[in-house]
Amino acid sequence: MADTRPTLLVVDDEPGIIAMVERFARIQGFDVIAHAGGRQLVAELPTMNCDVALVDLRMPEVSGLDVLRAIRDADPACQVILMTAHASVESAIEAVKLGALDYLSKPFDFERLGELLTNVREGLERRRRLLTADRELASRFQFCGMVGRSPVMQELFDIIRRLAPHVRTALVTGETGTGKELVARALHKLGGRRDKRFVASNCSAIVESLFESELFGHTRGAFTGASEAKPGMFELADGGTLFLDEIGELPLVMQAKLLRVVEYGEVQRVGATDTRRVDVRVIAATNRDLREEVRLGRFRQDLYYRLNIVEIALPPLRDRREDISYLAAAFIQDFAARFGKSIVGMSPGAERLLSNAPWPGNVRELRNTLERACMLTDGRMLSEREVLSALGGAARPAVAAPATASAQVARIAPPPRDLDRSQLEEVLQRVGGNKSAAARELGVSRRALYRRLENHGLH
Amino acid sequence: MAADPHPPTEESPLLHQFKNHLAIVVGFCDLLLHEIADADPKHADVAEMRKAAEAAMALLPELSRRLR
Repeated sequence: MADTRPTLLVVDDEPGIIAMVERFARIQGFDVIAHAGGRQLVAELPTMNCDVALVDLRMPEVSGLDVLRAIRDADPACQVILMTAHASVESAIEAVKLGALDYLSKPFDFERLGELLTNVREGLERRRRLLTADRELASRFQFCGMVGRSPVMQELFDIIRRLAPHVRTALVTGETGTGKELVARALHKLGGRRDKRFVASNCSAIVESLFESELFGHTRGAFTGASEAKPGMFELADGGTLFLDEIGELPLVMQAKLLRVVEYGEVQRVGATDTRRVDVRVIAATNRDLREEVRLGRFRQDLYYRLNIVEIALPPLRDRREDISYLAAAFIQDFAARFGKSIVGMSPGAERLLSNAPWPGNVRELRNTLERACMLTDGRMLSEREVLSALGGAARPAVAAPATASAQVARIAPPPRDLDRSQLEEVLQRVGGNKSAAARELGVSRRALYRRLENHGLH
Repeated sequence: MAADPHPPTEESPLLHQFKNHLAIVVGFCDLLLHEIADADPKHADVAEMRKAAEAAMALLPELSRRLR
C-alpha cells in the first residue's frame, strides 16, 4: 500500500550521507525527505509530517540538537535518531534527555539502523491497526448518530430502543453539547412516527411575544403584521414529533398553554375561537435542573411531571472518557471524507490531549475541535500540535519532552463559568441599560439574560 | 554507542570532514555488499574497498594527535 509508507526525514550537510541514508531507507520501505538543515529546515518542520528523522549532530547554522528540539516542538510524535562522526558522552546524554530515539555513530551500523527503522515502522503499523479498529468499533457502537461504547451509553441506547415505540412525552436532560436532539431524533426514528415530521424548535431562540403564535399558529389579522394565517409548530408536527429544546426558557404563561396541548391534544391558533386536534409526540430538552426550577417557582410543577414521565439523562463527556477515542475516530472519518483528505487518525500525543481535556462543551466541542484540526492538517495523522491549536490553546506548546504537552490541557479550555455580576453590570452600562443589546453582546437570549439578572438581584 | 577516545576539538573540522567522507565510502560499500551476491567477483572487490576505508578510518586518531 503505497499511501501507508512511513516518511523519514534525513538532515545532513553532506550530500553523500543523505544519498546513502536515502538509498537504505527506501529499501526499508520508507519515503524519504532529504534536507541540508539550517534555519530553512526549522521553518519547514511544522508542515513536514515525518514519522522519523535521522539528524546529523554537527551542522553549520543550526546544530543537530537544535533540530531535535525543533522537531520535538513541531511534532512530538516524530521519532528522532541522531548521527555523528564524533560521538561524545555529553551530546549523547543531551540527546537522550531531549527524547532522541537513538544515537548512531558514523560509519553506520546498518544493522542497527535497520532495527530502529523496523521498530518505527511496526509502531506506526500497530497504531494504524488500532485506529482502524477504533473506526470499526465506532461504527459498531453507533446508534442513530450517537457513538458510545461505555456502559452508561449502551444502557441509554437500550432505553431509547425500548421506549421509542410507546413514549408520548419525554424529557431529555444533559449539559450543552451532549446530544439531546440526537436522542429526540432517535426516539422519533425508532418509533411508529418515523414517516411523519420531526419539528425541532429552540425555545431560547423565539422572541417572547411570538411564542404563542410560533407554537400554536395564528389567524389572519390576529395581531399587527399577521397578514396571513399561519399554522404553528404543533400543527406542522401533527402525527409526528415536536422537539422543544431549552424548555426551561419557556415563560410561565406559555408553560400553562403547553400543558393544555400536551394533555388534551388541542391547539388554538392566536385569534381563533375554535380549537384544532393535533396528535403530537412532545420531546422536551433542557440543560437545567428543572426540579430546582420548579422549587424556585420558575417552572410549572404540573408541566414538569407531565414531561418527565420519561426522563432520559445524558452524561457529560468527562464522565464517559472511554468513548472519546471512538467518537474521535468517527468524527475524523466524517471530516476526512468531507474535506477530501486521507486522514486516518491521530498521534498518541494528540489522543492523550483529547482524553484529558475537560470538554465543558461535551461532544459538540469535541466534534468542532476535530473539525478544526482536520481542516488544519496536511498529514495522514493529526499531530499533537494540530489538536492543541484546534483546542484553542493560544500558546505554542512549550514541549521539551514528548509527555509534557498533556500537562497543558488544564489551561487550554477552562470550564465556562456563568456571567458574574460585575460582567453583567459592565455590559448593561455600556449599552445604556438596553437589555436586548446586552443579551446580544453577551451571546445569550434575552430571557437567559433576565434570569441571570434576577439571580444577581439586578432586576 | 562507541565513544571516540579523542573527541573533536575546535581545530579538527578537517578531520571531521575526512571521517564523514570515509563514512560515506564505508556506507555505500555496505549497501553494495548487501545487493551483490556473495559468489559475484564484484563482491570481493567491494569488500576490499570497504576494508581500505576502514583502515583509513583507523588512522584518524593518530592523524589527530600529529595535527595537534
